[in-house]
Amino acid sequence: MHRYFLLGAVLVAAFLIPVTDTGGQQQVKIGGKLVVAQGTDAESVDPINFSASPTASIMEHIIQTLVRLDVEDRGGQLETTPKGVLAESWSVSPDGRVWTFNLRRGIKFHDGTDLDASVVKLSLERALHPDCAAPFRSAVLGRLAYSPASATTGTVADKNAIVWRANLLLGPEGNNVSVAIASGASLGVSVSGSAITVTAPAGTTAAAVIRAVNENAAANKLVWASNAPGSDGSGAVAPVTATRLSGFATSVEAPDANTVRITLASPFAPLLQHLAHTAATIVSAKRVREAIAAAPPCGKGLQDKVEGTGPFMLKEWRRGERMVLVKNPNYWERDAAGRQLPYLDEIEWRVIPDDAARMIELERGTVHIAVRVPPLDVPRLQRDPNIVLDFTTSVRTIYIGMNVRDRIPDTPTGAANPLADRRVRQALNYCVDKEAIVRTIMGGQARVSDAPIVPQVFGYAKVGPYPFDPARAAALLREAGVTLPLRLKMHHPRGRYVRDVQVAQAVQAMLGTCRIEVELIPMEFVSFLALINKAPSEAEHQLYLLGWGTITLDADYGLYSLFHSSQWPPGPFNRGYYKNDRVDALLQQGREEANPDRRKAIYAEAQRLIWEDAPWIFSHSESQITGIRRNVKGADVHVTERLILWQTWMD
Amino acid sequence: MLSYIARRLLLTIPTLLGVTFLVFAVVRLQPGDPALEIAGQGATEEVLRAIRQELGLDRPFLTQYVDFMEKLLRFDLGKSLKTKEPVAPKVWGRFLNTLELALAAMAVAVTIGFIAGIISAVRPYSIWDNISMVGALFGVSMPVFWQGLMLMLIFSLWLQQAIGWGFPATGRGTLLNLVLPAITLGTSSAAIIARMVRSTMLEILRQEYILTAQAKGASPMSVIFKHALRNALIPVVTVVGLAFGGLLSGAVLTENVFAWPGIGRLIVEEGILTRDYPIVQGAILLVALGFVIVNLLVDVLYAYIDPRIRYD
Amino acid sequence: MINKTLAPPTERVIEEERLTPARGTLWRRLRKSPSAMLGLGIVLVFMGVGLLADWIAPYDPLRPDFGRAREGPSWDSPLGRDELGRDILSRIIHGARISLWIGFIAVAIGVVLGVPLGAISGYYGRLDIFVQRVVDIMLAFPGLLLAIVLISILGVGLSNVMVAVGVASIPTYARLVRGSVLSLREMDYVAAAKALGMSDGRIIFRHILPNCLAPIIVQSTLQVATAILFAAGLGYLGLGAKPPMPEWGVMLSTGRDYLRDWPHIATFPGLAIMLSVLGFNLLGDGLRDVLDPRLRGKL
Repeated sequence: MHRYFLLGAVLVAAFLIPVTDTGGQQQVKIGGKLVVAQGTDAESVDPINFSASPTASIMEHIIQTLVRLDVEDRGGQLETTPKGVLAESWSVSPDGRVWTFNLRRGIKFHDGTDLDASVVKLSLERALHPDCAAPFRSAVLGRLAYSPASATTGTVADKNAIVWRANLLLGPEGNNVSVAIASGASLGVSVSGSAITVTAPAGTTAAAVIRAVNENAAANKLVWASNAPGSDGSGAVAPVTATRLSGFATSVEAPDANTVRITLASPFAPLLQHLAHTAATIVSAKRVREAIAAAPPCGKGLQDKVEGTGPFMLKEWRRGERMVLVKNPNYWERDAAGRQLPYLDEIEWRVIPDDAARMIELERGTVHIAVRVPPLDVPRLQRDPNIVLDFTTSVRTIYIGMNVRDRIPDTPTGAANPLADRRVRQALNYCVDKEAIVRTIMGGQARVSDAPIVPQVFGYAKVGPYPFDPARAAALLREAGVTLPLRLKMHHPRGRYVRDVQVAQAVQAMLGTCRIEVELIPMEFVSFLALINKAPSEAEHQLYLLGWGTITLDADYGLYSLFHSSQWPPGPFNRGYYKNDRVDALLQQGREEANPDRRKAIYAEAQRLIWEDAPWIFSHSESQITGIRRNVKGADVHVTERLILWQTWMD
Repeated sequence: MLSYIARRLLLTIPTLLGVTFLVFAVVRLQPGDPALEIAGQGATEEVLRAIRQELGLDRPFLTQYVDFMEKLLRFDLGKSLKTKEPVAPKVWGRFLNTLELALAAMAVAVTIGFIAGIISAVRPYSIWDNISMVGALFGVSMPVFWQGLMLMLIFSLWLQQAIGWGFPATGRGTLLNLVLPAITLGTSSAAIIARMVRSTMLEILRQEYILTAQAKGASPMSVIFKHALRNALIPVVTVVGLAFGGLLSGAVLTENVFAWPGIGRLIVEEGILTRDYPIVQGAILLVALGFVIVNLLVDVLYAYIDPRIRYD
Repeated sequence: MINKTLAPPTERVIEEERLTPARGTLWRRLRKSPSAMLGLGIVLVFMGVGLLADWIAPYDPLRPDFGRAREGPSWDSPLGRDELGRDILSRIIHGARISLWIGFIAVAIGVVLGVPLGAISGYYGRLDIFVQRVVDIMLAFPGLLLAIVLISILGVGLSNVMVAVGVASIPTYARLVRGSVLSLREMDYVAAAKALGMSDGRIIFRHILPNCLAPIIVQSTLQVATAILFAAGLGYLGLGAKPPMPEWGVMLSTGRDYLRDWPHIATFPGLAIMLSVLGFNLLGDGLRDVLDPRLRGKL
């Protein structure tokens, strides 16, 4: 069912059986129709409107990114290399701030229009626009936008002007913030540094300015100053909060038809990894421009149809049922032997939510590729001579997070929190038998965590695992002076991760042997997220089972959002409110450092510190198992839980 | 008869109003924040507030309801929070798919139910009675999601492996695709109908007029079909009407097992699990309206079968 | 059921006409029906097992033993072990309590609220319009959908499953009873009772409802099963009882994932569900035959 959020899901190909041999010398058979079964349907084919990997899997056959991440096995160590797709080449300025991409020439979209830099700019800016609320906007593309601060405090400079201290990051073209006020009002706006000054004509008061700004904000959606207590125009005024500044600027420029330039406010090493994400795909501008003109700024009616540059074109989509893609006869890419890609004529993506039913269709041969094989079905399917299983280890880490504040909720009257003590947190880690979880529940198709991120991610350093050692756990609990039995609550989603309910039950049982009595509270995923997305002063959660996929394959994405103290909810993902000043400093350093070796050292140190602090029970990372009919050759499962089928053919 | 139907139609109006209000209220009572769902995990409070404002979620409950009704009269069910496309056409398409499945299942249920029920009632406590009633017991006691999988294994996978052909397991398309899900979905209704036909027929067959007819030498067939069946229809029609609701319920599970693109799956997958409340609202509303119409038909049928009712 | 000696003479005449069996004969007649006794036996066994679960279960139903996960039946664990190595027999024993509880509560909610609603609606033409609107509104939501929506408001959990399934069955009862009452109130004996000046409440509870018992009992026996099956279906959709609670439906739907290779995990809870449903149905059928005066003497 609904388990595939890409936010949590990425996998690295580590084939037991090499099914991806598409060497140039090999004989391939052109044509044919391939049927793929996934558990959920695509949500939409609009890149600003998807959040799950089954959608990305389909979309990447139709629309493409500037770069993609190729995963190569270098002597057992998997390494990812950014490869140009729509960008033929790129360069970075010495200060690491200006990235210049040269586009591949002569590429046409499915609707016959040409790819040029303005189209790239349009697609990226649409994905970045705050009003379009693209799910990956801040997490993946946030660095490309000079986004206004979330809440900025303004002060009234004199009777008729307000200055907002907005921490706007200035773009290369200056800041294009403007405050448009309905006709009649004549407010002046000037931007200088991080200050935005709104000036009213002489004679009006600051209160009137605020009112005018507010009244017109709804219409123009530009500035919305919400509260102005005591702003009576006298000059002595409480701070004014502008809750919504949408002076929106991006760092994407198109200096000429074939060049795209991105200027960052500060160096950001993993930029290419972020641009390889499906959220940064480039869509033909023809219909998008019309749609935006009709309904600015995002456009409507772009859910069901899309024209890209990819190897396949969208032919038919029956929601909840199937999506049919046909070969793009004018596709630009060729294989190593110089043959035109793709090999297949057609791909049909079918939606089969029930795991057992999906396996039956695979066994019958009515489906050629079925994703998400349940781990315990593996032995049976391996006996089937017509099926080859593709095993892919995952960069999705499953963990049990802990609220580490002194009190829950973190107010003077909140209950004392035993988990604030590092020794207790370590004890929990020693008490859980991760090996047993992997062996029995995951059927061996998972990996015990030995770091907060997995080996496939750049920057990984082995710092664990915590061995299963109940005696040690008991000693630590004694040392911490915990009264046993210790009662804790654990919230967990159901059906979101592979066997999540069973994992929660197993952890509960194991902690029980250490006299830690855990009450399980299973929740539906969205409510669960809402529950743990609270400021510490409102948070009620103690233990929470969650997964995180480092989808950019870079430690920054896997550590910064989860362990930096600036990333506490609401909003960001440090849901246990972990804070360690040294870790904060290291994570900041890591994202600005350009030298790969130095970055690795920085992240190794950060992971060691995090591991000792034990803000999580580090559990395991999932595996992805894909069932493929033996006559299907060259089907590739990419690191980001996507199937790659443009070099696939059928015998 | 016509005036009865007209009256009945009139009575449907308050029901429909009640249904719309209930759906609206119930959907708003759901926990979770739709704004958070739209904006995604990383949204700031400022973005959330703006979304709530745009959707009117910050306005009073009744204002929202009036607004909702106004749009409803124009067949506007709002837009999906997730995909931002209009809900009405999407929900309608899925509803037709479910209707297709439900009608096929109903055909299965009525056919099997009546045959088994009549056989049982005519020869009570015979081997046939026992077989069909034990069959009915199995029919009702097998969970849909379990039975569906068994049927799929036997008639799709194993049959295919044995003779090289099997029924299609999942998806919608040809009539053959309809076979397994319709049987799965229809079974429990068939069992209920069979039991109801049996017990009602048993009662009626003991009534004096039947005994009289038998005494007068009417053939058993004519007794059953001319005299007994018509009178047995009243409670049975109720049950068939109610079974339709059961079918729509079972459809949620059946659709999931057989990957049938119906409205039940839409509600669970795209509605409840992702908190896309306009979809839940639109879909449940449509199902409810469909069901109201079925109930209306049942009532009219009542009146047709039992003329006493329409003179109230 | 009805104490004849206290009934006024006029009423007794009517009762004689309806041939309602006296209390003593109920048990005697039930005893004559082997299938009803079998049903009663099954129901009693399940109730006994449920009540005594703490004493007769060989293992702790919640305690996993990872080394024995998915182990097949053995002397030590007659029904085998589940996906976490918990003893399936012990879980089924404890599950009996839960599943029967779900069935009873849900049916109780349905009967207590649905039957009077249906009777009032069918009997009073005037009130019918209003009551039927309420019933129609509820009836407009197919059972499981109503339950799903209720669960999504109330939250996941066993008691919410009971409430949701019970509430979902109210309109079924109301509708069914109303249908019967509609025909019954046209009967001569009701007209006679009315003519004799009997109060409406008395007519409804003494003369009409007893004659609706057959469909109510048939429906209730099926409803216990339906409740258990709804709970299972909700479990399949992830909206049922909370794990690690040994609810049969959840056990079955979890076990379904292992059906192909470890069939015992799903089969035994499935059999438990079927057996209990069978018991209720047999008992219900037997009771119906006994309670329904027109079938009296034909057994």
